[in-house]
Amino acid sequence: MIRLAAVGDVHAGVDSAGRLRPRWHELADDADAFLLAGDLTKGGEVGEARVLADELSELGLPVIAVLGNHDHQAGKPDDVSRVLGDAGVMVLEGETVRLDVRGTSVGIVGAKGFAGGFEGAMATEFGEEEMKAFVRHTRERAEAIDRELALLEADIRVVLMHYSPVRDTLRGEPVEIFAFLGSYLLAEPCDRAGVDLVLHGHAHRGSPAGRTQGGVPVRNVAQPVIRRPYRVFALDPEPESGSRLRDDRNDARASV
Amino acid sequence: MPEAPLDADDPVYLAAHLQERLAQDPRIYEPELVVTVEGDRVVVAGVVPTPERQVAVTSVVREACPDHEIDNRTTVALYGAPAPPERIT
Repeated sequence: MIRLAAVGDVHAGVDSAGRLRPRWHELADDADAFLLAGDLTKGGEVGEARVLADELSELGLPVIAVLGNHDHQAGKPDDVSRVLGDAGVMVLEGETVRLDVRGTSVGIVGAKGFAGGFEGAMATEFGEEEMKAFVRHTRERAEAIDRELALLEADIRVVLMHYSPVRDTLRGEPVEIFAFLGSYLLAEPCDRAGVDLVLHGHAHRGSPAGRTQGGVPVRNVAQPVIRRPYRVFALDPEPESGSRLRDDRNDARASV
Repeated sequence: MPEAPLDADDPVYLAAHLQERLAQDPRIYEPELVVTVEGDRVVVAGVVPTPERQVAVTSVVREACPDHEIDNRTTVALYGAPAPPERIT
């Protein structure tokens, strides 16, 4: 059994210094890896990323993250990723990290994702260039997830994103803004690959649990939803799953 | 730096513009706060990550609506104890 701790939307600012670390100090006892589902910073400033990097330092377990919309606000998402990367956080955007947890291979595909809505109430690449670009951004993020999953072989496969792939975990938000909180395009590749779990944040007033059309469990770990420092998810590899690892693809590796 | 007061007479439009301010002001950056305007009273609800940002909500609304009463009902994010693991099947 492997245990993944996760939280999203911590919105770290300079006023967060010293406040998050005490809440995370037992992580290494509770989990094998810590996943951050975007909106890591308040406004995407380098100073805010440095505060978060300090709070995350020496937790004693791998930390894997994706960015959220807040991390893009200052127009410096690459700087945020670099600061966190320098502190050992694996920040993924259309990329995969594989961990070896006591002999079990765990593949985590990470991407921010984006919005557009859900079947029956969604935007399409039609009309103005601005609308086409909006939907295209989501489609490209979804295609990146699809590509990574197609190449990933691991005993346990998890997708980490910021935006929601399903309506289920948005219940509680005004239905008028569902289209700004996620997209069905993000769920399709997860169903196609039959992943074990999808984690996301972003929907502060949403619901904690749902499933994709294909039955993949989805969990909204936005901090205002879970109201805890993190949630821990325990997963067992499928008995029939192979443990053969691919060596020709993956952007980062770590051993636990 | 303080922002200029908002110029909107209709309470619905004023609430919408206030929500934009709270989303876009660097002191807060919280698009999910809920704003309602009832007569001369502005009510703000939702969750903010720190006590400093909760205080900043009042400051931003006061700058935008200096003649309104402000009812800041935001709460600071709760951090309960970690829960037992959920087994995913």
